[in-house]
Amino acid sequence: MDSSAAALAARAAPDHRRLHRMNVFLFLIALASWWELGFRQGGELGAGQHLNLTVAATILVLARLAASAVEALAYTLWWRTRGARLPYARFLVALVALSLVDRFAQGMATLAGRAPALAPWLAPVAGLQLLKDRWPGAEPGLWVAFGSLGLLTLARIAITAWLQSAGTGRRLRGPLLVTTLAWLATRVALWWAMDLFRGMSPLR
Amino acid sequence: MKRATGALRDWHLAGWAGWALVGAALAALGWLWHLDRTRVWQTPGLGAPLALVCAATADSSAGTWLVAVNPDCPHCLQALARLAARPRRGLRVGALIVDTPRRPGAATLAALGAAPVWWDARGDWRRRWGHRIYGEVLCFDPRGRYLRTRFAD
Repeated sequence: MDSSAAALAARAAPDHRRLHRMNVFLFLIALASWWELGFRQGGELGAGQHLNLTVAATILVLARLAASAVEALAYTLWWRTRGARLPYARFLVALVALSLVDRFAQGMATLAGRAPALAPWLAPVAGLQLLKDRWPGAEPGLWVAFGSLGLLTLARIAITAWLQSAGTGRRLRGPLLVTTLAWLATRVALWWAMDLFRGMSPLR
Repeated sequence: MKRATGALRDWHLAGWAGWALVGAALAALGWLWHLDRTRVWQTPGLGAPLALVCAATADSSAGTWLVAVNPDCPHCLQALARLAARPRRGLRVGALIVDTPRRPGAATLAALGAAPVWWDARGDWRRRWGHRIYGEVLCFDPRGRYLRTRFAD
């Protein structure tokens, strides 16, 4: 390593530490945010009658953490098979922090539910599902799978790819392709699974 | 050094095998989905082979709505109770007991209230009609012909 490369690496290290500290902070906010959502939605669904609301909210947070853990593991293993190391714990923390984007999209969906006139304006950002009522003939499984597609989802895919690029030192193109394909594959799997779950029964 | 190279190769092989498994699972799911969606399902009907296990006099001049109920599912019972609590002129609201191989007893019928109750003894709701979600509402016209299925409110 020559002196200029060493100087660049030395400068990059504090940046990485700063980014990680910010991610840890956002991670904690994301956990609190999902917990609050679980508590509120549990109350709306009447979970208090059969299940303690705190337990319902904790289950939602744990499920969210588990989903992020599996996602982080999949990417880490993928890059390992490609001969690159992606630090698992840091990536997981960043992914959970990034879930605040989903939370923001949910907030916009709630807003569109209260003010339907805003739905056409919010849909390009928060997801096509806000326009579901305008296309009643569309397959319900497709709505479940691809209804979240919007600018926020695209941003989430791009940031997930950038995190992998920064973590592995690879160029952005590869992680972007992998992340996009992973998103598409999981959405198609969700579409098929929902259709198998419902059969000929309707979905809300 | 050789051992390290061998371990790396093993790791790569295991990784690719894992991804191949994921791909195979996705392909299998797609195949199942294709079979399920291209299968020709029977249209639901109000008559045989459904057995009317609890008759109740009710006006059905505007049709019949049947809530698919599994007696062990409290949500189905709530869906039926909610629908029955909002009577509409000429519309008969009843229960279709599904996924229950044994003939429903008096206690089960009592839990369903005063609604007329049909029993899907052969499991046609799931196996021949292709329906799978409890609490859904099957709508029939006054002659008992199937119209559509809607989800419970």
